[in-house]
Amino acid sequence: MKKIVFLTASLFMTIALSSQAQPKIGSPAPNFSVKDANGKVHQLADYKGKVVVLEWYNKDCPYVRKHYDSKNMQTLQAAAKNDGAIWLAVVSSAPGKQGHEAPAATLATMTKEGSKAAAVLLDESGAMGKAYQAKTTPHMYVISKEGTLVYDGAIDSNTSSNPKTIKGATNYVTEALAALKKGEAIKTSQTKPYGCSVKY
Amino acid sequence: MTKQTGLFFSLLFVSLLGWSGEPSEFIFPQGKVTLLVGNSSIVLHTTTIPEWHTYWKNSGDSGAAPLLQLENANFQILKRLWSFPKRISVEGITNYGYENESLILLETDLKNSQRPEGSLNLEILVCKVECIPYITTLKVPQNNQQALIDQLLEKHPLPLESSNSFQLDLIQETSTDKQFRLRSQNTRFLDFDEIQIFPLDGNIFTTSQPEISLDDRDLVFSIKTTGLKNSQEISDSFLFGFFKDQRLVTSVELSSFTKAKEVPSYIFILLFAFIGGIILNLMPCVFPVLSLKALSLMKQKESTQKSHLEGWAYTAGVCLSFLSLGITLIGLRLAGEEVGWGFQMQNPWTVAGLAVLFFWITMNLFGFFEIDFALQVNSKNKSQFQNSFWSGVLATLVATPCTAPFMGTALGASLTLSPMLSLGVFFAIGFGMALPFLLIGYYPKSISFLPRPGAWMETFKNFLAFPMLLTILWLLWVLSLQAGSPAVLSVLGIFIFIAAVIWTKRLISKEKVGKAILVIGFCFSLISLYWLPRSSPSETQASMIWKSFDPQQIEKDLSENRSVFIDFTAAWCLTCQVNKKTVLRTSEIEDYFQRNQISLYVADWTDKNPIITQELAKYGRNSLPLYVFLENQQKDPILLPELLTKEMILKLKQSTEEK
Repeated sequence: MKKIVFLTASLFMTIALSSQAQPKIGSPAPNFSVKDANGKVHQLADYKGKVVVLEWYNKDCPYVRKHYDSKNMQTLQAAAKNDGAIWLAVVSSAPGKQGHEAPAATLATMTKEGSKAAAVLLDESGAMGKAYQAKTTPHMYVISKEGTLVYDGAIDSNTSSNPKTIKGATNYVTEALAALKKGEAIKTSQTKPYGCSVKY
Repeated sequence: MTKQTGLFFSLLFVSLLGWSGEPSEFIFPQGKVTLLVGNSSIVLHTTTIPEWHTYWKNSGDSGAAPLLQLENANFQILKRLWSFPKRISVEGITNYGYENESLILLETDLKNSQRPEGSLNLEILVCKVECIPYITTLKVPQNNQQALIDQLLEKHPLPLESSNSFQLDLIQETSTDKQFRLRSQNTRFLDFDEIQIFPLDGNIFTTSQPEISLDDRDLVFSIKTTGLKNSQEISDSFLFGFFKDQRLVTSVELSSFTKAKEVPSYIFILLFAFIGGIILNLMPCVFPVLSLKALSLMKQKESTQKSHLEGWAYTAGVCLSFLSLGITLIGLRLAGEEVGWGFQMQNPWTVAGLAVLFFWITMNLFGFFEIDFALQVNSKNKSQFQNSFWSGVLATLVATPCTAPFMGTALGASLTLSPMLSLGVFFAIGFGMALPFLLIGYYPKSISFLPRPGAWMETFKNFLAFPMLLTILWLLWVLSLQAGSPAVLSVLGIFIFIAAVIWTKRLISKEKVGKAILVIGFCFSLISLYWLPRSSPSETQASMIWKSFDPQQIEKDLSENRSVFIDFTAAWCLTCQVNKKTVLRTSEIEDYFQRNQISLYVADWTDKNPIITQELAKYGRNSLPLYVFLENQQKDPILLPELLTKEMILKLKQSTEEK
């Protein structure tokens, strides 16, 4: 009898979890299975034991430009890589939409940007973006070694598109990564993302 | 070269011709922004070409509101007002913004004669699906263009910043939703066929369409939340737009008045009600009736089954009366009447009826007649239980104009409960009030300090007629305010009639006939109240510094940064009268109010007044007295306790300064 109750309860839990549209801080991050620009398939499960950073990217978005032209994003990526984190840039632009590029062109762009991301995932169908409810570029997520979503939101506290505002703003991703490294609680775990809409 | 860029260059050329240095206009391929100066405001007028849009102050899922910053200016921005936005959905993402034209009005501290100087740094994001940010500096123009601004404002009316016609309350909060009620202070909502609701804070609220339901006066909507907490302790604010035939009729920005303050748990509400009930015994209204009750108790020497039953009969009388009051109150509220605790005293017939009843009791206490009548002290055993029951009923009836400490909170909280649960609150008050007498029934030794019963009791009984008479005096005063002097004179006439009935009875030796005369006389004295004349009550005289309650004036005072004190009172509320005489209207306190420039308002609830009932509800109350101190618009209202002391008032300004 107890077993049935338990099964029913866990069944309802599963239903509740799967119908939970919004990825939740403190819950397992949604899994994904997406090819990168080199044709390699990446899954979240591949990176168990490593901190994962997701960055929604669109090369033509002025807010993305704010962080790339100022080299802010590249610096962040390099620092994360040094600490052993896996940084994945995600392009959810549908074919024909702004920011969409063929794999070869994407690789060229990345070289030009000086990107230090481990890979650029080409989420043409938008499935991954929708699973994470990515709204803007750049929309940032940090996933802990255990696969738990620990940060969801803006890259920093200044929503301007002006690169001059980067200095003086609080970078939430840096904060989250530092806290994970020290094993402390993350001060700001959810913010409203800013930037251009993701071009699904 | 496309047509667009051609237009751009020709416009650029035109604008360059007109200006040297920083222009007041910025033209870009998708539109232009123009800065205009009016009498005391600056207006940023944005125009975009089709398919492109700019953003409202909450931009929604993506995008960004224009950022404005003054530089080297000889004036300051006091307020920013944005024209009414629209929902723009692009590929599953919802934004709040503007297509075509929009205005941002900056209210400044510019005086009419002053020439504005300075420039405005502007960062504006223009989007179709893709977005282009523009960063520019606009010079504040020198020439006054108020006429042009007026024209633009006519086309794009700005939302009202507040309105007394509406009240917004947070009624429910879950982890994913917040539910609000927008109540029209008028009897109905204005005529509209569509309503649009925009949350001001995009951090807390998602852009999903709110679910709206509407009846005559209430619009209830629930809106999904992001799960993010309010960064500051601010109330939830929304912009409402009412449309008729697709035209914006009126729009207003409102903040929910009631914050998500924790409602005390039901057990606490009951406990408060119970404690309030016990304290009610000490309140001035109940005293005369209770002294009678005390008198009858003195005859008990020991705890007997009889004394227990009497205690329970009294308890039943009190509790049942409270329950029926509760049922009436809830029933009236469900029927849409704006009523609150003590509502029966707002009815002059009740007041006059009580006065007549009390006069009969007075005559009885003086010993002018003896009959087994509601509150007989020396009655036979048989009717003792009935007497106990009816004295409970009477005690409740006279207790209603009083609110004891703790009771206000409990009664207020009961407003939000289901009818069954709020009846529990009424029961708890009744039980609390009856408890001391119930206990005396079980432990008569507790009053053994009182002298032994004897002949002195008859004298004491006669003496108790005087508090009764004083109560009558007070009731007549209330009546004079409610229904004017003709009503008071009629009641005095009925008193003479009662005296005549008693006098006649004493002439007649046959007991049965005498009794009949008394019963007929008693009934007739109450029935005659039906013809109680009512003249329109004279306005309660507000003193020089106490103004009568006026929500608009209060709003104005607060906006001018003056503090406000509101005294919710009624002639029939004895607690209020005590506070008034001992604290509020003393020269010391009135001086203090004036020194600190606190505007004083009296909200008089002597007669039925739905506006005041609603105002009380705003503070979670439906009983008197209530004292509210509003320091300014930013700070939460301070509610003072039911029983005031001078110190509480003298501390008001200090305590808010310390915060």
